[in-house]
Amino acid sequence: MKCIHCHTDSKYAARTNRSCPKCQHQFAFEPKAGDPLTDGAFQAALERISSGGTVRFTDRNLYYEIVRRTQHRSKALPWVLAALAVFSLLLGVFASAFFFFPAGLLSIATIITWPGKLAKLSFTQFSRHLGRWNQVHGVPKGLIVRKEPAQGPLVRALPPDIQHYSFDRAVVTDRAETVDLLLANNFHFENNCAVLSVDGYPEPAFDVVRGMLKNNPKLAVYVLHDATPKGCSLAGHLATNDWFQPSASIVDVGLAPEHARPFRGCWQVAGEWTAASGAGWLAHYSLELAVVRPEQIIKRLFRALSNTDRLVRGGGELYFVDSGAFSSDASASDGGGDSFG
Amino acid sequence: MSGICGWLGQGAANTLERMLSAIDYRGDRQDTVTLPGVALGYRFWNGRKGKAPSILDSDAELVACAGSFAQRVGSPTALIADRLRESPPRLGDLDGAFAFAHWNKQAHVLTLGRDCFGVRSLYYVEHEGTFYFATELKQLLAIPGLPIAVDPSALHKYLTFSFVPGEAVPIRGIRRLLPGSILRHEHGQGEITSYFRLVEQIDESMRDTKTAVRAVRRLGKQAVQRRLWDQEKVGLFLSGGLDSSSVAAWLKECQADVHVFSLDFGERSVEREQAKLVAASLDFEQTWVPVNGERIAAVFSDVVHRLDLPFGDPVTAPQYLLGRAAREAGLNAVFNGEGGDQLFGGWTSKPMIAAEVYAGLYESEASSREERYLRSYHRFYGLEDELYTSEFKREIGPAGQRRAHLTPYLAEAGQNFLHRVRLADLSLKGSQNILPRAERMANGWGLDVRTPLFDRALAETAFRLPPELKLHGACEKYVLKLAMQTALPEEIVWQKKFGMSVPITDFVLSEPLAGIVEDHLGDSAVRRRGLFRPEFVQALRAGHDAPSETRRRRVGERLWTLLMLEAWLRRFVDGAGSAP
Repeated sequence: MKCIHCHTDSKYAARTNRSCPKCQHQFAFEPKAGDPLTDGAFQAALERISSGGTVRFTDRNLYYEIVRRTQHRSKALPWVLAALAVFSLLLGVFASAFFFFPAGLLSIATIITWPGKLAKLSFTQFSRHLGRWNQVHGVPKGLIVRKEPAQGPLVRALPPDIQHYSFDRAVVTDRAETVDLLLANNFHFENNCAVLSVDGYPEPAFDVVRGMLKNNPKLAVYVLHDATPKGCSLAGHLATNDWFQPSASIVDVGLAPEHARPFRGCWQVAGEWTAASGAGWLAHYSLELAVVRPEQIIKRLFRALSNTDRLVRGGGELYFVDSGAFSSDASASDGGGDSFG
Repeated sequence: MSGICGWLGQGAANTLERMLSAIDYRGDRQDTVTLPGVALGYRFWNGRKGKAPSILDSDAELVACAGSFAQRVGSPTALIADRLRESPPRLGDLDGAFAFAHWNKQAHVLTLGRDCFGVRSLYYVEHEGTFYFATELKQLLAIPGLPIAVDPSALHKYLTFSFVPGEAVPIRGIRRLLPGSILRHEHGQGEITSYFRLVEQIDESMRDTKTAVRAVRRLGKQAVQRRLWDQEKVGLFLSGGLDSSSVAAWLKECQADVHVFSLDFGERSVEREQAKLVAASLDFEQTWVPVNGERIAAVFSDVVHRLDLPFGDPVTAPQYLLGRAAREAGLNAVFNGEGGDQLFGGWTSKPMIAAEVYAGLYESEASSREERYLRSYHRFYGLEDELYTSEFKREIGPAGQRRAHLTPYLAEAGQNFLHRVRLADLSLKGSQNILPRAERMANGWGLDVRTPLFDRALAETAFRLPPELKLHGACEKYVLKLAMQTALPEEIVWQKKFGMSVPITDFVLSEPLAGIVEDHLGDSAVRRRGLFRPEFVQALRAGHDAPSETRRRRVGERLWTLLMLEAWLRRFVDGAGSAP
């Protein structure tokens, strides 16, 4: 296993006290002791999730990156086993019954290793691993860490004229972590965009921002959510209450069941069944937005903001659905710029 | 148009000649006066209205004045002399695009001054005991024996702002007088004082929207009227946005003879239809100026030379082409719509407001308004580790020097937030970037540039308006829109702002500009210069930006910023400012 500090490759026996025999730096993980990955693999996950250290991410983003990596290792194996089983079976048919036995064994092994739909590593287990990494290597650069409320007042005093202004657009989410992801990556700053969760996050700015949103009758609202019954019904919910002026337009750009297939292996078991769950995919599973890498979330949301022309009116009459946001690579105009008047 | 220079001390006669020759495109005549210990030079176009016909040389004083006042005056030099006779000098009501030098023969005091918004520039340097000054940097570089060494901290600021802010310029030892200031040089000592500063003082009567709208309409028209002299035909650079369209409408109301010039980026044009609509609705003759990579490449070298300082906004080359078209049409003066965003609350305020609302939520985020503002320039702030070589990084000076340019405005207590952002925009981006570069691109073609939205009375009134009349909810320049809604087509006034966006990424990544980029920013050129990491520049040349960057145009903007800097270094440092 390679040390991430000095890159020395060492045998298990040489790693006394979980330390590198050359530079003595500690290892956070030891696969021989049952950890699902090495320090190098964890570091590679950090590099990938942060797009080379340029994008900030939540612990939920990192969790799914690790899930992908721990499951990725076994992804090719079942296909190889299945191919060998079929090959043995054919040999058994055409050559000798002797080959039926390995075919049977290989088939059983294939079933055991076949990738599932659900995440096998729980978030609780991941959190323990992250805690150990933090202890040994420090908090990863780019990991979004909220300031403790004790460091400042819960509701910050803003210059008084701020409340008279508004935003061109707003992103409303179904969970606070998505708000964190967008704000920490300056999405609000780059796109003159309010970002809020429907349940009141971020608390210090929530009331002021909600008031400001009502100052713009032409507000464009983008709803970004998990593939859950609650998330998928959020746009409809917002369209029928008094969050915005009636003339605001609302666009659902969240994850929906049709986006789920590429993320097999990261699905979660659905929560308690409700009438909103219906009888389809949502009745059995859910998919968290954090499964999409931050760079992709930001870029695809930006495209959705830019490509308002290709919107399709959704099932409700009061809002639009942009189902392409997480499944297309449409190019976008980015407009704006310096002006000479 | 026109330029001045001079010295205090022991300069050589041919030095004055060299300094005037360096700006030969600013006039076909020159005038010089040399007295023991002092000399003044003036380059100008013969017979141009509103300009001084020569250096004023009276018993009491010598006065040279470049540029002109907003309102036509009998003699600009006599007016300056008049005002400087008073103590303290009374410059409070002067408006226009001017830079002057005044020598008091009795008191042996030299006074240099610049207009309040910074249309014209003035630089100075002390060399071998002589104090030199000039309206362009390249004139000072013509001084024989002047050491020309780069100031890395000024380059560092350029790479953040896309222009060089403040008094320092990228050549060590040379300083710039800031807009609205005068420098008094006496007994070998210089003292700088400011005679102009915009302060927000809300006028209660302006809380009545109708009163405010009437004031803006009246002052806007007056600002245009003041800048129309006699019955001359004038040009207008019309983008189709609200600001230049408003100037067009006021020119129409003043019954001016107007020829408009608009940029044509072909399929990539953003506001072409709007520019066409405005010209047609006001019945103005319109000339389309095609802009593409080939045309920019053809004038690139001359653009660098005439800009005088590095300016990293790609709008300069199209402005140069506009100026050339206006000159070819036989015009001497052009109007533009610069200043609307700075005065009336354009879109640039919005990111700062969003950032203010959400500030302080996370560990390791930009903690101050100044840092957030620096990020809004979208150049290399925050990318220093990726771009700078370790050698360059060691030389750029202490932390906080960029923030220091903003603190006087953004940290101003007791003022509305919008006012603080507007003031920072006006003082930095407006006065040190937009106005000087526009002046140089127009004056490079012998054109007198007129910027009525930077009219002093109009600007002072804009700072007396309640902030919600500027940014009304999310509606930018609200009061200007209300003022113009009966004079312009509805879609021009109430349309969503797109901005005059130059498709620079497409241009710099394709031939022939890609060849110029390769020559200036190829691996070997970058290594030779030693400022930047070649791999970062190479990624930009390949069209790759940071993964977190959502807008493709940033690649072109960043590449153009680096290209202009390298081209500027070659001409002004390696070549000491020589003409192409």
